[in-house]
Amino acid sequence: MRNTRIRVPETAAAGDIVEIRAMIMHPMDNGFTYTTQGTLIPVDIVTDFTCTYLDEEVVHVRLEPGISANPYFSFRLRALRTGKVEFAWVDQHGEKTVAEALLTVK
Amino acid sequence: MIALSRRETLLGLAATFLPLPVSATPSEVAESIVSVFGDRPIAEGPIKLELPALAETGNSVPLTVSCETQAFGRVRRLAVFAEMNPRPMVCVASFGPMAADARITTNIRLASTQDVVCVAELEDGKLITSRQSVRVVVGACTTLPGRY
Repeated sequence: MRNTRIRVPETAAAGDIVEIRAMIMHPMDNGFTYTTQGTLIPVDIVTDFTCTYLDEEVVHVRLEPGISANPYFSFRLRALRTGKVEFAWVDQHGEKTVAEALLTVK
Repeated sequence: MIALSRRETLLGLAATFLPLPVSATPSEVAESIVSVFGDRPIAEGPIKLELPALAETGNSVPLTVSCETQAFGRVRRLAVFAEMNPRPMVCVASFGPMAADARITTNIRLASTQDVVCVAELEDGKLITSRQSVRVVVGACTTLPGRY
């Protein structure tokens, strides 16, 4: 389980478009860099990111080594009713990191 | 004896010191597009790629991809490719029923000055593409050891 930072507005009006931001702390080693001792750092990346709202998918991203360290994503969803916004990251070893926030719709 | 001009000497010296950057060939880029979407015709389309004109480091370049969906219907998937990266595929984003629009912001790595290509798959299966050039001062693969 890695550290994550997510930002979901606390409240929104029904039908509003709200911006979601999510970031996970991960080195995203791309397999082209060396340590100061000259040994190659092997590839170590997050491969999948999923965001769901009301148990339905908002966005799913397949990540490659071309994504920067500490992958950050920002996207928009349409607020329908009060519910959980859930985030899940899976790295190449299968380790899953989850986070969630409550979006209250007035 | 070969007479070398000052310019030739400097160019030759530069060629010895600068390592040749590893980069994908255009056919590899085409292959990776085919590996994501299959072998289908691609047309130019109104995808907007927001990138800085000049990126000081290739380690983290902010990128926003958005697709005007009004005239085209929903966008199912968006894939981003960096043509000169050793591995051109950067990410593939698919939008679910709860997404408000086909728009995503992230930070990408770029190996050198190059074009970033985005391919979008629409709901009817059509593919559209767009590209944006970006100048990179220090590439992500040539930076000194250390994590950013």
